[in-house]
Amino acid sequence: MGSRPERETTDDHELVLRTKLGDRSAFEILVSRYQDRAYNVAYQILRHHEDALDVAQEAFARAYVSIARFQGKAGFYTWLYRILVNLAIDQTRARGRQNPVPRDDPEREVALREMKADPAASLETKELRQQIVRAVACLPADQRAALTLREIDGLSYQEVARIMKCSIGTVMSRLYAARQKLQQLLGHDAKTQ
Amino acid sequence: MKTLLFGRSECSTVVPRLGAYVDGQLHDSRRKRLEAHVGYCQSCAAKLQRLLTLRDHIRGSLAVSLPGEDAARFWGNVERKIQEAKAPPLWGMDRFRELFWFYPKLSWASAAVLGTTVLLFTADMVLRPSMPPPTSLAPMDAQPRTVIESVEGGPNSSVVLFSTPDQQLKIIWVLERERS
Repeated sequence: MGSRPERETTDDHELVLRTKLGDRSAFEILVSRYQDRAYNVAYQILRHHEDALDVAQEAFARAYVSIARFQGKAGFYTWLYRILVNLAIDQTRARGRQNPVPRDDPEREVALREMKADPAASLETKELRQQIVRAVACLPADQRAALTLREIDGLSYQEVARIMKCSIGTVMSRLYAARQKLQQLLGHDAKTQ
Repeated sequence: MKTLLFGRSECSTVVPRLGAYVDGQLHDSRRKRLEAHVGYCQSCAAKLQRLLTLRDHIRGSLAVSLPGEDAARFWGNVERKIQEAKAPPLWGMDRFRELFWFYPKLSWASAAVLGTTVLLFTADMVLRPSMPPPTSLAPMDAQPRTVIESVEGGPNSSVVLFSTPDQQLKIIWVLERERS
């Protein structure tokens, strides 16, 4: 495993090159760098902690095994996310979990922490968060994926399009549809708060 | 007044672009036009405000982080999966799927080859001239005849000469007694 400065300073491109040469510790740095974000994306699509963890780990494993095919035209995370999003959407489709009910979720931990800090204010926040989580869970998997990559990861339309293997226009229409649906589902609560 | 005169058509152009504007993905000229429109159109300004609020709520609500113990075990599990993936069954279903997944052009090529094969096969079946009906079996007397022309015997051997007149073929058998 690399030292702390190496973990923070070495860029993805160099780590990928070292991984291609067989340096597994370089890949470990890439994993530690993106594991949180990868898990987050998988979780937003699957809405299930164990499945999201499994898919995120599987995506890294597949990326490692096929790293020789990575040509470096796009960023490593774009390539990794492409594997990840495909795996997650495949799994959602396979299990017919288009509209899952969230369970054993890490959001509960966040809500509990806020509750301890400011019980009164956190009730409103918690309620709103739950509404949003429920509303997002109602979206189709591809809209959820586009929304997560854009809103949570802050990726550009071009990057989202590359990851989801679609055109920028499709990304725009998925985001538009997702936001319209969310506004409908959240009604006036989200508009006014 | 401007809103009343041009608002409806302009709004229908602006509204679908509000999302891209919020995401900072609009080109300069479109961004400026949209900002100018939102400056005087209260309806679109309200929609923009709602979109910004929604974005903030989504960002505040959806982000989750990997729980501590899972984060600590993450790399170990990835390593285990790498080991599993390195020894896949030869041409298993997953390998096959992965092959097409990484090379989408291969999928198209395979589909094209399959389509062409089916097309040619179908065309062959449709266009092939009909086969003549099978002829009846030849009568028994049409089979080649065998005639024994001569048999000569000696003290230690015998010679038999066969011929098949239909095929101009002669066969000579020499039968020799074993010497003790």
